[in-house]
This record gives sequence, structure tokens and C-alpha cells, in this order.
Amino acid sequence: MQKFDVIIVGAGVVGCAIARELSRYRLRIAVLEKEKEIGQGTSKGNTGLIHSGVNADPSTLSGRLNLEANPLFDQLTDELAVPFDRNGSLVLAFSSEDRQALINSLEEARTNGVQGIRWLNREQLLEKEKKVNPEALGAIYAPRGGIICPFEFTLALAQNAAGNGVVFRTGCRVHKTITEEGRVVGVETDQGFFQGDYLVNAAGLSADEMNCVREEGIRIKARRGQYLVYDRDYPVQIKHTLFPRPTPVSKGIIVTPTVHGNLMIGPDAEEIEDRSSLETTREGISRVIVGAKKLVPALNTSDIIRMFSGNRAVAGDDFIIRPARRTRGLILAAGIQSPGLTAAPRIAGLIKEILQDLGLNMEEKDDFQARRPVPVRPGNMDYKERAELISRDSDYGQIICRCEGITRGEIREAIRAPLGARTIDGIKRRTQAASGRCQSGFCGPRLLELLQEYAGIDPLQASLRGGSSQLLKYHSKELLLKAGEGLADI
Amino acid sequence: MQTFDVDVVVVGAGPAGLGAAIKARESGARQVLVLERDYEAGGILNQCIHNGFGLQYFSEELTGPEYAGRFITGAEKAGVEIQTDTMVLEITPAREVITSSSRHGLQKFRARSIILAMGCRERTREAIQIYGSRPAGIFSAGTAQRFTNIEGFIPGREVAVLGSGDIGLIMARRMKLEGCSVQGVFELLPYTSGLSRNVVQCLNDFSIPLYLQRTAVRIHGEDRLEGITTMQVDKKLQPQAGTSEFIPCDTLLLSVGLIPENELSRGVGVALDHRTGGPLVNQGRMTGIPGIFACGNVVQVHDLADDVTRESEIAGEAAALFAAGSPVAHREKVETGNGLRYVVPQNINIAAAGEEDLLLFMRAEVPRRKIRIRISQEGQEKLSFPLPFIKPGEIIKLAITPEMRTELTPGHNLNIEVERDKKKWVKKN
Repeated sequence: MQKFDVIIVGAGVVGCAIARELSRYRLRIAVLEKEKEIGQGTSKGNTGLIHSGVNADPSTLSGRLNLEANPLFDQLTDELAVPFDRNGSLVLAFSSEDRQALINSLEEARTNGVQGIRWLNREQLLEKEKKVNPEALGAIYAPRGGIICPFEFTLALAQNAAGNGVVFRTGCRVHKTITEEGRVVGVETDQGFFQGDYLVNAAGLSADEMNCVREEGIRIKARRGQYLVYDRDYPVQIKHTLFPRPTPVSKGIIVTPTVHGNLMIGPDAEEIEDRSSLETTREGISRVIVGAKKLVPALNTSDIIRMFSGNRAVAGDDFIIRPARRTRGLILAAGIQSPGLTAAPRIAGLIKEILQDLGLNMEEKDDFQARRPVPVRPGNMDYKERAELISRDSDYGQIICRCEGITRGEIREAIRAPLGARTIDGIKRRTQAASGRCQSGFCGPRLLELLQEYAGIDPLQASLRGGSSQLLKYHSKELLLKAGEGLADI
Repeated sequence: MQTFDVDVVVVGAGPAGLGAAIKARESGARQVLVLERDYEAGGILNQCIHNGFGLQYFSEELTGPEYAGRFITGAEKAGVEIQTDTMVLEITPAREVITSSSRHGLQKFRARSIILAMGCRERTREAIQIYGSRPAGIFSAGTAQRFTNIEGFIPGREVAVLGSGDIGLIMARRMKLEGCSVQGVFELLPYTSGLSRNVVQCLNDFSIPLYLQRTAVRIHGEDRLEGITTMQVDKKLQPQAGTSEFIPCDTLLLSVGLIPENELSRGVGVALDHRTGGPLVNQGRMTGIPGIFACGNVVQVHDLADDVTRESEIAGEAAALFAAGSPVAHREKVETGNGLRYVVPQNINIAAAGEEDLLLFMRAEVPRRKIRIRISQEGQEKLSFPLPFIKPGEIIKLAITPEMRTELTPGHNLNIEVERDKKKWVKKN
């Protein structure tokens, strides 16, 4: 039997941030994830923004944590070696009403501690971002808004936590919380019973699938957002993250660069019944295009390399971060919708404080390692450095993904590293291989070879993202042989 | 980084690169080096195990690997050096080629002339925007071909093909031969984009249904593909209400177009033609940058490997001449008018064409019968070529003989267009 002080359910950005925060202390911690790899839910499919907090309402939990967390990202991303760019955001006004409301919100945002914000009139706006709709009357400029790769951030948190002793179990679905006299004692999972004194539910869209969470009266709704990603060479280039004036429900459809250099537009917001569904729809995509064109009229649908959907977990208007009322030892981190990615480091801090308040003894380790090893990226090196790297490790000389220029060495490390890739999507998210314009047309067969070579995964078992998403079903001639044996009706 | 001086560097060891390299050697280039990113030379032909190659060039029918094999052997005989498993990272305007490989690390080749022969890639699901889920089981036809013919795996059992490009037609048959059930080929347009011979030999002969003006509008299945919804489209290509049909399948092959791979060309600043997706070239296939040539599918997506070879020989010879110090400058532009999507080469030099035929490749916008192709200068008709039919799936080749060229005025641009043949149409060859 495995005994832990804290069991965290869900290895999304929230669960991994909590794990990393708690790994500073002498605690036995486990993170249980139902998917084959970490970060497969909301954390992989979102806009990747570190919000400035310009429109954050500090009277809400999500607003307060957003404001508190934004300043933490410089140090955090440095420690975790995650690309992060404070590219600045612009909130655009298209009517005098918009303008007045935004100008009014400036003072409030300054009081809330958002730094460097100022109003830009139309000329200043167009000078800052040339392709913006010239009908915009002006914009709030928030230089502390930033972009990050949400998956890499999640992975880095997890790898750093694992390096500091946190146990991660993937493919490990929690079936039931076990309690004794109203207190958590552990969980039943796909991989057996895990004993634990404290249980943190960071299960995102699945949070209310746990019995004790349902008893709290919490119901998660999925709000789907659809996105479009453009080729890196798309002629319309945007530097800042562009927002329309936010509505009470949503921050609206935005236009933003990604840290990988692609332009991305989205999301729309639509409540859906099937929370696992990640469909894109004609209606949703056209909403996104219409919304994005309002900000940048030059956008069109050529050079789109990817359409995708992400589902955000919504439980009412605000985050729910608190001890459960009916089950002692259970702490909730539920309904973490936007700005959950930004808030994650402070959500982790809050969970730590709650655990402390509940009586968990927190003693700091003296050997906590704050830094994650920096992934080797030959594409970012000059030729001299790159040549030296290849002479030390020739796998960095062989290019596997031609569109993104990703080498065998990078893929090897993505598979071998702690919490390494076990699926094609896993390799893609860690290295950007297969994310370019051919979308794995050329490197797909090579990636299967490498999964076999470095992880021992048979090509017929290799999958896109776990579950039953295997790519290849039969050996050559297998169907014919079966037909010959009278086993198939061809 | 080691640096080498070479007469001609060829990027890509497919049929275009090999053909060009051999011809460059035969035309006097001393060192000719071919750089290939894959494990072996031959390019995409290695996975094209069907026959039909070489009917024009060799007057015999070969498979893809056999066709490639002739050029690999030819390259060896001609003294061409091929470096496989080597990726070109960058080409500079000073004609330096920087490569990466595990065996040789980073290398720099200073070339007198460079021939771009990177071929093309397939359009993806994203490029055509099919809505729905994102399950496993959706492949471009060429990727499925590689899995089937080289890696030894069959992607699935119930197959639908979207788009009627040649690879899609060939893969429909290939899947059938592997014992899969092939549900049909769905084409958005009212005509196929592949060769007529492939429609007959791959679909008709194997009773695989072809659905024209019908396309996939939605993908179903969470982990693995479970089916597609198809709909009939109208003349404006818009799906028609009430025509949707669910096609169960675990595999969807996409054959929805090919795009010349010009990342390196763009990187060095070669001007591209938005109609072909390839570089603007002259009759020697020199791009806008002196000493940088291009041939094969990187210039225009050809239908036949035989045509790729013909074009590559033109580029190989011109690149060798350039390396030896005799470049040919172009003088006249070739412009396309009504009825044509593009023409290659886009620039020519009427006076410097020598004794050879000047070969013009062009692609029709829509299928038409009984037309003539009119070449004019300054609004005056100079040459006319009657043709029984043209269709976008089959490239049009016109040979302008030295005799015909006496009709043309040097220094004046050419305009080429399609018009209905008003005279009673007489069949002639």
C-alpha cells in the first residue's frame, strides 16, 4: 500500500502547480492523473495567456489571484526554463461607450496594482500595432500581459515537482474517495488503493465525478472555446495580445501571437453537454473568425494549420478553492476557468495555506531544487554552438521534423525525461515536432519509430493521445491472411 | 563547421534532384553534390510501388522504385555524390548551403550554382477546414502510402478517401488490394483532380465508387475515427441541406492537393509565383536569384515523374552552364490570360533558346473541350494550338519549336490564353 500525506487528483496546470509548491516541504505527495499523459485536459487547449489583470475584479477569488500571480511569472518561468514573453496586451474600444468604460477601468486597475497601464489613442494604438482595425477608437495598453505555452508550463511544473520527490501516476483514474468518520483516508483507483491524509481535487472538468465533491453541491459545466492557429509565415503578424472590451461573461475573442511564433485566434464560448467533446463546428469557427476580424480586419482563413477546441471547467462565476464542508481532509480547487493558467501559482499558494490551516505540518526541505534542467533546443543556437552540440551528441544533428526543425535528440529527451512522452501528441506538445504545416505528414512515421526505440512502444500500440487512439491497426497483408482463413468477410 | 567548395549543389534526391544532378555532370560540372534529408535517395518514388512510371521517358512501364533506381544508378555512373540523412538548414544569397546531419555535424557548401529540388507536400485537414472531432485515423494519402508500402502497416479497415488527387486514387486501390473495404472517393469539384487513367485503373476497375460534388463536412469519433458526414455541394461549393449522409469508416485518407515545399527558397529570398506556389523561373529554370535554379514539384506540381525528369534536365544543364560562367538572362515574361491557372516558365529568352524546343507547361482552370491555346504578343496572335480537351488534372505541354519561334518578336512579352475554337474542329496530332 502506498501512503501519502497529500494526494492531488488531476495533473493539469493547477494540480502540477500545487504539486510543485508542496514539493518544497517534507511531505509525501502523489499526483494521480486519469489520462495517459499529464496536461491533457483544459491545460493543453487554451489561449496561453498570462493576464495583466487589467480587467480583474479583486473582490472575486479569480480576480484577486490573477492580480497576485501575474508578477510571479518572471522568476517562475526562469526557474522552470519555460519560454515566456510579456508581449503586452491591448484592450480595444470600438464605441464611445467602450472608450468611456475602459478609461474608467484604468484608474481602478491602477489601484489594484496593475503596473504600467495607460490609454492609447487611435494614432498611438496604430503605431504600436499596425494591423489593428483603424476603426478602433483607442485601447488600454497593459505591458505586463504575457504569453506562455500552457502545456510546457504544466510539464515543467510537473517535472520540477517530480525532481523534488512528488510521485506521479498517469493512467490512474480515481473511482472513489474513501472516508472514515467523515475524514479522507485515501482513494480507490485504476492502480489500487492510495492512502492519504489530505486529498486535493484539481480534476478540472472531471472534478464533480468524485463522490465527495458531488456532496458539496458542486456541478461542473464545460464551456467550449474554439481556436484557429496560423502558419508561422502568415503575412499578418501581430505582436501584442488584442482583446475586445470584455463582457461580464467572457474576455471575448482575442488575437494573439503564441510563444512558438504562430498567430492564434479564439476562443468563442459555448456551454456544451458532453464535456469530453472537443469538436470544432462551422458556427463556432465562423464566430471566431468574425470576432477576430473585428480586431484585425486583414485576417482571413488561408494558411490555417490547426483548428481545435478546449473545454473550460465552469462552476458558477468564480473559482472554488476551499476545504470541503462535508468531508474533512478534502480540499477543492474546482471551477478553475479563465484566468486559471495565470492564477495557477497563487492557487497553489492558497492550497498550501489551507493545508497549513488544517493542521498539516509543513517543514521546508533544505534540498529543494527550484530549477528545472533547460531543454536543449538546437534551433535556438547559433551555428557554432550547434556544431559543438552535435559533436558531443550526434542525435542533435538529425532533423526529424522538417517543418519545425526538430532533431532526434530533442525527441529522445522528450521521451526519456521524467514524465516523458508516450504518445504522438505528447511528443508534439513537448518538442513542437508535428505541429507545423505538414501536421506530421512526413515525420509521423519517424515518430512511431522513435517511440518504439526509446519507449519500447510497438507501432501497432502507438497512439495519438492514449485511450483507443492507436494510429495503425494491422500489419501489411494481415487482413488478407485473415480473409484467407475465413475470419473476415471481405 | 567544415566548409567545402562545390560546382553544383542539388537539394533533394528525388527524381528532380537526381535528374538534374546527372544532367549537370553530363553538361560539364565537375563536382555535383546531392543533399537528401531521408535515409535513402529516390524521394517519394520509393513508396510509389505501383506501375505507370517511365512510359514517356523510357517508353516502358516501371514502378516508382524502379524508375528511381535508374536515376540512382545513373547518378553513381555519372560521378554524382549523394549525401543522405542530411538536412539543409539554410541557403544564403551568396550560394552557401548549410546542412545538419548526425554523421557530418554542420557543414557549409559554397556552390557556384544551386538547384532546388525539394518536391512538394500534401495539404492537410486543417488547410481545408473539416469540422468535428480530432481522432486518430486521419492521414494524408501519401503518409498512409508510406505506412503501407514502406513501414508495413495498414492504418485501418474501412477507408474513405477525400479528394481525388492521384495519390488518393492510387491509395484507394492499394487499400482495396490490402483487403480493406473502401467506401468511396469524395470530390468537392464536379471533376476529378487526378489523371483520367488513374480514375479508370484505380476506381472503375476495382468498383470503388466516386462521388463528385460531395465532400466531408464533419469528422466523428473521439479516440479513433468512427465516420464522416458527407454532403452534396452546389456550384458555389456550398453544402446543400438535406443531402447529408453518414459514412462509417475508421480511416480517412486526404488527397486534397499538393503544395510545393519552398521554405528554403523563401528563406533565401527567391520570388515565388502565387499561382504555382513555386519560384518564378526562366526557361533554364533559374529563379530570380542568379545561380539558384529549381525543378520538379518545387516549381510546379507535376502529374508525371517523366515530366519532372524533363524539367530537371533543363535545370541541370543550365546550372552547369552557370557554374562554368555562362548564365542566360531572361528577357520576356510569359503571362497567362483567360482559362489558365499558370504557366511555367514564367520568364523566357526567345533569342537565346538555341536549337531546342522551348517547352511550356500550363494548367487549365476548368475542363473544356475543343479549344485552342493562343499565344500573342502586343495583342497580336502569333501561335495557336488546337486541343481536343483540357482539364485541370492533366498538365498541358506545348513545345515551341525553333521554327515557331521565328514568329515571335524578341523583347515582347507573351500572353497565353484559352479560347473556344470557332472553326470546325479537326482532329490532328
